[in-house]
Amino acid sequence: MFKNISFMGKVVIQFILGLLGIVYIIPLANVIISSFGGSGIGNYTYLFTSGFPIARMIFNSFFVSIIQVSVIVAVASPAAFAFSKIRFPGRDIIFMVIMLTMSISMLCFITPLFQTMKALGWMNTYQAMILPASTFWMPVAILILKNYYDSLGRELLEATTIEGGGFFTAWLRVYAPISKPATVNVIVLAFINSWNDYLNPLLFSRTDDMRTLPMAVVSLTSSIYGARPEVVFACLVIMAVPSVLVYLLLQNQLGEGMTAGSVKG
Amino acid sequence: MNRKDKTSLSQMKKAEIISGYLFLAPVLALMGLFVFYGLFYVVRLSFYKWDGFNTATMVFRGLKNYRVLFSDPLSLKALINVLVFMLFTVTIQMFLGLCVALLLRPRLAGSRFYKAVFYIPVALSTAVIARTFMGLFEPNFGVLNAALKYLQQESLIRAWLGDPDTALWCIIFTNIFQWMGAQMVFYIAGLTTIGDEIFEAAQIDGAGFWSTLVNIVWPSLWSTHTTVIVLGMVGAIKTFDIVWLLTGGGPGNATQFPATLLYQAVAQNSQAGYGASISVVMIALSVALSAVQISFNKRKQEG
Repeated sequence: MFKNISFMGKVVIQFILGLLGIVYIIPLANVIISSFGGSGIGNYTYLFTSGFPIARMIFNSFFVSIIQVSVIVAVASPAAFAFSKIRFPGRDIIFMVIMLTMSISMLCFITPLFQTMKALGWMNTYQAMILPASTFWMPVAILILKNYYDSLGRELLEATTIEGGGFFTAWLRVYAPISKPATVNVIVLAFINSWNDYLNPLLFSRTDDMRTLPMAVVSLTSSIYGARPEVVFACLVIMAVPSVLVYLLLQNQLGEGMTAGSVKG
Repeated sequence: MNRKDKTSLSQMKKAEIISGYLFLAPVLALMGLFVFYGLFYVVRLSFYKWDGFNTATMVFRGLKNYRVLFSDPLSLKALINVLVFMLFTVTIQMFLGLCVALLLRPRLAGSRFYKAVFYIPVALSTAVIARTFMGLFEPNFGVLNAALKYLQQESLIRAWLGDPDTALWCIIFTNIFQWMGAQMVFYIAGLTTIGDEIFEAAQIDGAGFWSTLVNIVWPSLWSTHTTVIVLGMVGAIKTFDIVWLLTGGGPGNATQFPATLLYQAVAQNSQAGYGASISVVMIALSVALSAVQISFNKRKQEG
């Protein structure tokens, strides 16, 4: 079916792909070209020099995403190991309950989250921007890592125990290092998800100096900068570069997990 | 086995059980605080009337929030919108994703480039996608109206996002644009599991393109279809940011979704109790769909 395609067949395939490709490239190219409209690169320098805290927001985006990813890996990896290799009562039920919560939107818990943050005094802080969002992504990370741990046998665990090591040693020194492919998957997908997240800063940040880039786009549009769409487009380009770069550089390492992690939100 | 060995064996078991729970302690602490406590909280709150500020003003009102939710024309509108959105995004994304995966499979020149182009929107923030499409749909300077003017179809020119007849369709189009690449990746992965020898056998049997597609490719992608459908439905129920950023639920509530109604109720109208009843319905639907997904995966592993 896919071999010995006639010349006409190849022409038809290239034509359809080209047409759909144009539909995809026009909006993206429109943003990039518009971002240089008017004063060219000046739109970018204006964004950094006009008093809008864009540098702080870029820092916030990197800081929040990197810490979120670290929390996710540090918490999900031992949990996935326990679900895969350690035997204890209630294990499968706990795993099932966590998986059932996978697709619940964080927005559904808006009131209890607000109340908890107020009680802790965390509203408009980095803690508030990091902990709930990492928690809501945890089930996806646990699923990807557990599937990988499942593909590794129990023999390595037995070997470690004979040498006098406990479960902690087996996880940290043996299983976690060999699970690098699955861990890279989790890191990339969690980073892109966190970098792009709009709901998280909408719920937990209150001032521009705590906002991340998805909110910067909105703040810019609705402020005096909205009259200069080319400046807003420059901000879109700045924001798109890291996530697209991470995807393009690491797409070949993303095998199966790319599909497992496409769970939206 | 002497007595000493027995005790050390049960001690080992005890150590295993304790370390199991210790490994889970961090995730259970976080999920307990933000997910399970939240679940308990919204279920309870959904039976109360509350402004969300002072707990002293909480008033028990039984099932009234749910009665309002199921009889209010606005929530009916949101339900219809989300169902229309679900039907069209899931089917069109499936169709396009499968078509593109099939077209990329022969790996002709440029395939890698196209794959990247179709996937890039998945890696972009909805904030970026939404602002990009606002530029296209914009009534005065937008690319869409400019193209219509160029083609001399002035009668079709309109404020696409400001017109109740077209706003929902703009949201559906934008969503398909953003997520089609994800479906494409699922189908590319699904197609690689069908070996080349199956296609060769079909060719020897004299099966043409269409009969191979209908009789071999479509049925063997069964598990990919279910994954794509369930994830699409889950995504539809959660849909918030694309709507909030493009139309804010407007014009005049024409594009309200359950999630935008929930956000407005809690964050703008101080109706935390009513919002909680929307949350409970959304959570019930999400959990039910996850259960369906898990049972499909189980069947896939066993079959």
